[in-house]
Amino acid sequence: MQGRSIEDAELAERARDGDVGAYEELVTRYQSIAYRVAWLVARNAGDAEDAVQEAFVKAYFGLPRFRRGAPFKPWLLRIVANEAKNRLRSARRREALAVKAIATRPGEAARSPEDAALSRDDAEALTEALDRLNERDRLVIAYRYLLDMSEAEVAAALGLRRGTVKSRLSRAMTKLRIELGAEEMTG
Amino acid sequence: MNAGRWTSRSDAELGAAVHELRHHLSWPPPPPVAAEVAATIRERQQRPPVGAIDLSLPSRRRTVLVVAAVLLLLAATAFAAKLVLDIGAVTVELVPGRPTALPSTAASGADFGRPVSLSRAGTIAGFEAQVPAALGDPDRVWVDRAKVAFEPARTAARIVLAWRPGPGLPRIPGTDFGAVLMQFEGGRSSTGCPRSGRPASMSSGC
Repeated sequence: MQGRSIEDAELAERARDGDVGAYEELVTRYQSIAYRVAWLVARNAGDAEDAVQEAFVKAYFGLPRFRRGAPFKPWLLRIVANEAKNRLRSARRREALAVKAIATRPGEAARSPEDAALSRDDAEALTEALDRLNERDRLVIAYRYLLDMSEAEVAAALGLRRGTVKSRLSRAMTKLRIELGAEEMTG
Repeated sequence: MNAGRWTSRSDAELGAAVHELRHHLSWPPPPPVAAEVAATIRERQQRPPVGAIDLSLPSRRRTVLVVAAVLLLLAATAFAAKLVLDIGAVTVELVPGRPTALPSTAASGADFGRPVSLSRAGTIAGFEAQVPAALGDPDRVWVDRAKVAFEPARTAARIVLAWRPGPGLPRIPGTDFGAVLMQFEGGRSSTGCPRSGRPASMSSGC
């Protein structure tokens, strides 16, 4: 990851100097995770696409304010999330998280529940519980666990201190547990 | 499902389950945006700095505040209904009367720039197009840069909206559309009228 960070920094530096091609490489590198973040916030594919495109453009013109040597990804994702929030007032239909039709990956051996492999029922219960969280709680959980970001990256992406991220994440997990418990009671 | 199965899990265990969930989620496929983003950046880089464009008439006549441009093409044939398009800053009122002469190159679409969605047009042009409520969402949208009136060396972002013919909106001869509306980015002269910040579709006095 260290090598990748150096590459990001180099590309960002070249982009800051006006090399749009270098920036295009950064866009290619992060368009997938940026889109997922935008979708998690906006909950609509069209809004998410618009948000991602505008965020990448704004980030380019914001590069002079990007601190040299700082990780690019969380800085970018913060812009993406803000752009996606700006589109929440659009009239487009909000979409729900969904579980794939086939819950297990091809070739994957069956694992015991202790191995944390999820059954389809578990995956659907978790998905529905995540869906019911507010955007703030859903995003901190998604950053940390669904998008596999470190606490430091989550902190940078949300513009928070690491300690605040820990407490926010803990509260969000408690709410998730409550939602799952409610499902157990009704399910 | 066992009672308390989830509620008894620690944060770490629940986090591990959510972590595993990432393999099960059906994410919408991410659109490839890199080329589009690069094109938008290059377009915006060609734009003069904000505030540098002044589309007012050189004569500084007080009556001219906002100069954008309008191409609202109406059929030469009977247009019975009076049509009022309220686009916020400016109201365009069309009254039945003599047919409007049509430019020979009207509204082919090929000259209007790049076809895009309405929301993308705003992103590329740097301003949001005002959509007349009477017409609703346009059927086609293009964006490009066009020469500034009286200052051919300068260009301004232009969004073109077009609507297909419909009741009360007859087809413009030689085109596929019943109405075409152009909006340009622009500044204004400092002649004492209130700021709007909105693009407009025709000259307006105050």
